[in-house]
Amino acid sequence: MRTLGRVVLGLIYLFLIGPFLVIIAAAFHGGDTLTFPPHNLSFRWIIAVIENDDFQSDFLLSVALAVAATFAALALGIPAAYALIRHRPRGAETIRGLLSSPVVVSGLVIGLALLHYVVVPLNLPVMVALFVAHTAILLPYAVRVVSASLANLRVDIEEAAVLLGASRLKMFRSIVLPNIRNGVLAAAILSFITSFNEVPASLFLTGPGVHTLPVEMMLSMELVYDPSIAALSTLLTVATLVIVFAAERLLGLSRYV
Amino acid sequence: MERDGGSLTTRAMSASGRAVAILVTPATAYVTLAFLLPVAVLIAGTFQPNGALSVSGYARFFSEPLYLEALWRTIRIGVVVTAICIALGYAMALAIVGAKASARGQLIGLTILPLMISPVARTYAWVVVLGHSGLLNGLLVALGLTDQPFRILFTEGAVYVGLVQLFLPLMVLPLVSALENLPADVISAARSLGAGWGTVFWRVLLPLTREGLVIGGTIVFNGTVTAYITPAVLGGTRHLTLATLLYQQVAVTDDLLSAGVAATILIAMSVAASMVLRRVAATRSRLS
Amino acid sequence: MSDADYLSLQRLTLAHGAATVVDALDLTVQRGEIVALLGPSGCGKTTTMRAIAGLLNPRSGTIHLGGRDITHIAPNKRDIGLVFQSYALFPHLTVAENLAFGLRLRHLSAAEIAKRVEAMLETVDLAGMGDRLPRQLSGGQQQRVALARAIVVEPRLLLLDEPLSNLDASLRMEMRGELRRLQQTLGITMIYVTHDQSEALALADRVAVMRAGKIEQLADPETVFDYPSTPFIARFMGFDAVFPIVDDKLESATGGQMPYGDAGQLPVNTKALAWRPRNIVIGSGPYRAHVILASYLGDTVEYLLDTPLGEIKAATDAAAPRHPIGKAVAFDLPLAKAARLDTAH
Repeated sequence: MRTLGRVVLGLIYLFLIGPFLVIIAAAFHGGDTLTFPPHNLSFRWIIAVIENDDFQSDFLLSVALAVAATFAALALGIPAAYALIRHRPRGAETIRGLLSSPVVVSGLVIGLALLHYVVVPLNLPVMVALFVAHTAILLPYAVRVVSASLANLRVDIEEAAVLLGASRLKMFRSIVLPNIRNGVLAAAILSFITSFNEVPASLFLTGPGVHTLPVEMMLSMELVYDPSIAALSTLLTVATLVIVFAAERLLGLSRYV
Repeated sequence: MERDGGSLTTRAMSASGRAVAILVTPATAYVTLAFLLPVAVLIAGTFQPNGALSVSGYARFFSEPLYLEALWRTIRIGVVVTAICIALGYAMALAIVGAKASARGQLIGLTILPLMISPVARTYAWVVVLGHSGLLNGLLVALGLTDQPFRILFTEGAVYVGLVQLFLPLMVLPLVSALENLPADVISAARSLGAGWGTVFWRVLLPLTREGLVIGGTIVFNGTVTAYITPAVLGGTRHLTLATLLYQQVAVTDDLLSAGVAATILIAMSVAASMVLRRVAATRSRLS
Repeated sequence: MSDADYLSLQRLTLAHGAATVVDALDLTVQRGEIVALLGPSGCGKTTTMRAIAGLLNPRSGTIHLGGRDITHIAPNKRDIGLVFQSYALFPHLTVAENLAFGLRLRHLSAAEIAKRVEAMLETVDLAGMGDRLPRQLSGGQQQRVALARAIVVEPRLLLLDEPLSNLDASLRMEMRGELRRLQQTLGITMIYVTHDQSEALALADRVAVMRAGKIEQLADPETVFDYPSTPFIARFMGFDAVFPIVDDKLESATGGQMPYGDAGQLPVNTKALAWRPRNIVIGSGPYRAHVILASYLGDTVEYLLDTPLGEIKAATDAAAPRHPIGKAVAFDLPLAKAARLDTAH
């Protein structure tokens, strides 16, 4: 029974992870066309992709967008999460539901709704439109992860700080924030990755010349026959793995997911 | 009452409902303005195609064979993928739970990992594997099983494969959690009473892990029917789902009404899914 | 408001929704005094303490400290210290930083702060531990840090919420002595909340016994211990045999009655009498009982007597003559050793 279990597990993991390995291997193909199995192994396409101007600007765009949206989601989400947990106002559950609502529907719907009823009527520039969409998409994650961290925070140390003379703002800065630091970082990393990988909403809201990296990759997939997409995928996968491993090591990321 | 000093305290420490409002309003206002209102207007718009209240938009949608086909395909894909994920999910979850405690953490980590990696990369990997000159065909030809490469890519089958790979981890995690909460030795007890593995699965495991099954199944179904990247890349324009149809109507055909209808159907499915999840969570907290 | 009435609670009412937790409480505390709020869980003692600290808003009533009305002043401006039952040490700060927290908010110079922190660590016997984090300390050490942190800012009033309840018995004894010593050295006015009768009696100058949101008796420890004013307090203090007096008879809760010989000597406002097991005489006396149980407890022997008033617990010295089970004995409820209670229930 044990061995059967191991075999089954092995096959399934092969199914789950195998394709990544294929892609990573294909990225090192030295020839001009996407081939598997690869031969003439070289870094040629990895380098080509890194030096490609379009990909570079797409990458920077995605990063800037992810950073900005993460920051906004946290700026909105942390105070809300704190108020909901610490002050437990009437209707807290409704508010919590409201703040998680964007996660219920697909980014596709968010992109369409925003495009048609906000971006076009208000004539918003593409970057702003993307920022607005991504912030809305990330907010539920920010609230949820920070709430998990706040739930473990004790009221009594906040009371102690206040009684020693701290104003509520000072207390929040000196006592609450340092103690939820890891939760906030975990939320930041999760949000960043979510924003960076986001496609459906971004697809609707991008404009000529302004593409996020995953959107660019998707649009190029059918037009490009060389290993460059594979190379990009490889770089992204490796970067994601590094970030997630580091986060797990330093923060225990999995505790907040 | 005394030990509940927490809630009594917060009443004083929060003194003003004003403080709460300042903390919460920015977030709620943002979600309302950037999400709820636009989506609500979108849905409302589908019922007012020419200003007056009517369901003609829906009538047109459901009478168009292409759209109907997309709808059925979407549901079909949802059901099939969910079923496959349930089967594989149980197999995986059982194997994980049966593993040594030290290995278990790593296995779960290994399961979560793909979720973080860009879905574009994940889907493209299948393009390479399933393509005309891809890995699978290459293998089949090399092994002499066929002379001509199969057309696997741009079929509904390819979409199944891609989506299962995408969502299987989301099925496994709730199942692992449910299995871990099984009373100990329940399976051994059933076996000692003479139950075969089939009976054990249907009459013991399934009922006891029903909650995890519902959670995982709902998440997978919802994700599958709303997925865009995988059906777009692996299914192509010949096998449209609601999501890819929606995009096409906006980007290519400029049929915003039908796009809105498709979107509303997707929203309805998602909301139904989240209500199911809410109910499960509610019964769980009531019982605990 | 004289300076002697340092803290004054007037008709303080605290409520949670429809439920009244503290009911029109009056209390005055003198400067430099320790007053214990003693009572079982749910009596309102912690709630009262939190209201004094400003962590709760009263429904009605006022709080005055040092002549000033602080009823609606924010908790961080009251200059009142609180030692939490859970210690509430800041987990991300060292011991020294915990102590310095309140001092920094008072805008003292860094040198002055360092000096005071050093001195306080010495006082609570934690010299050299300034760099440790709370999680590296034992329970007793954490308790002392909590105390030090509250005292180092020299508050006008110190509140302590069952500060010793999480410590084991021997440590508790030791800390009790420490607290007493500190209080006398520094002369801090303290309000000490506890459900432990012996702790309240050992530490306090006056004890306020609370029940259901009211103070039933406020007196010095000796008075409360030997002369409780109500059956509730009597039982709390270990008076097992509590009997209302009706028509010169003692009555038990089960409906039993027994004529009491000395009833005529009682003033009119004595509604009940109570005895400790040790003060019930076995072997001689005007009343009759049967011995049901006899338990040897080392120092004493505890008896369970079957009397017209139901089962009564009595105790004698181990050295005294034993009374075997089943035997009929004479017993007495001497008036001289009785607590005279103002209410029947």
